[in-house]
Amino acid sequence: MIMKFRHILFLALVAFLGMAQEADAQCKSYVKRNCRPGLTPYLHNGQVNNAILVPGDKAELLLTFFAGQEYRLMICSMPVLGAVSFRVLDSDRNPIYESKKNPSQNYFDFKVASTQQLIVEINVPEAKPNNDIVPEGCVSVLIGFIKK
Amino acid sequence: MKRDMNKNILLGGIAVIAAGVFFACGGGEADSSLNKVDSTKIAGDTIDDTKSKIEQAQKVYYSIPSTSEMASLLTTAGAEYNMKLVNDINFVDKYTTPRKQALNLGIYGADLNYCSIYERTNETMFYMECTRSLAEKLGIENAITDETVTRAEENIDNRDSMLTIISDMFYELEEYLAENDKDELSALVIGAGWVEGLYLATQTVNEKKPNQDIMSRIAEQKLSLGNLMKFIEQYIADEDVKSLFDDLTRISKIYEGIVVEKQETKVSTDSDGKTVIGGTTKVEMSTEQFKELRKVVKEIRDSYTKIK
Repeated sequence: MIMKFRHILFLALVAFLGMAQEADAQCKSYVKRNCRPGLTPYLHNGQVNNAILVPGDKAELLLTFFAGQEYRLMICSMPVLGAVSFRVLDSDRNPIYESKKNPSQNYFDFKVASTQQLIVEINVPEAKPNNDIVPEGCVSVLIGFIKK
Repeated sequence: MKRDMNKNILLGGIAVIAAGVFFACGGGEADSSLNKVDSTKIAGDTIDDTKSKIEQAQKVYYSIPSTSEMASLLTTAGAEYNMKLVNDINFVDKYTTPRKQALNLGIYGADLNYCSIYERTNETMFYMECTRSLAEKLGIENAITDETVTRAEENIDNRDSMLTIISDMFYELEEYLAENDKDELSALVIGAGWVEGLYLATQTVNEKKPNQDIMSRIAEQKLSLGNLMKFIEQYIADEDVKSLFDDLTRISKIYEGIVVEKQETKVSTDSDGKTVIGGTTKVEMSTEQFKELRKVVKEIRDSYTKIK
């Protein structure tokens, strides 16, 4: 009985780690194919900022943008998650940009006159459950800057 | 950045799920259909189950400072290239421990960005070879492919293409480390790369006639350091990462006395219709604080690059 349980536990572990790795690989290939090209003509800063989110998720990150630079901030998500929206807030949480006002665009281009820490708030819309199975998908935060 | 967040979610819920599998199978044979689960879904979980697991995971991304951006900040601020500052390419084969190899992969990577942004074509290829060599030694050579090196050789005279290739290379490297559960290695590479960027910036300053834009960018790295330390802190169970974290703490203590405060944010639109985010940021760094920062950063950086 103990051996059987160990066997099952091992298989469960292998299956789930396999799922995790596959989700990572899917995320990587999705971002490479569908997201990074959208940064052009900005240069991707090279950093990896991907996470697997599910409907109803909210995520926030604090980013530093430096004076004198021009940036493109892109939030790129898998279609399975629906219309993922984002807001850019200053450090006092005053809104600067809301993607819902430009739903056809998944990026925000801006110049920075004085160094800023900005909050990026990402919202994944709720979804109606389909056979009690929750879709999950990759959401990538990409930052590009103009080469000077 | 919270890389592999799905792994954390899965590990957090694994006991529950393993027990679920056990009972679902009635304590009998394992269900081989587990291996066929559509990986875009979390099998068998209701929305509430899944959310509960996700709430256990830290739902944040980490913002990691970029070495390419740091190099770009230096050019924008008017700093001149100084070939004496970058790490010696002849040291590359003398880094024999994984710790030194990882730290210097970060350092050569920052130097590669520095050379490339200043259009130093020969040096750029040398530093690309150094990063590739250290990646090989660390067993992560698949992250820097022959195709990448060939693309670089073919575009050596085109700065924009080179910068894109280098950016792609570091993205692939980071992704490779994340996918292969080498987060500690990643922390060492990223942390040392940031130290090298700060080293290049602080050494560029002419103490007698400091460029105020460069001084401001250096002071503002206080903001990046906070993000970096949050990321690295996750892996301090590893003694090499802990040592790096302690080094960053030394730098952080100097930054504690340096004032970088946003006073107000103003948003406007320029003549091209582009949003401009401005306002005022109070930056105060005394000469003594700068000298101390420069000294400590050099000490730390030299401890990484020195060969025994």
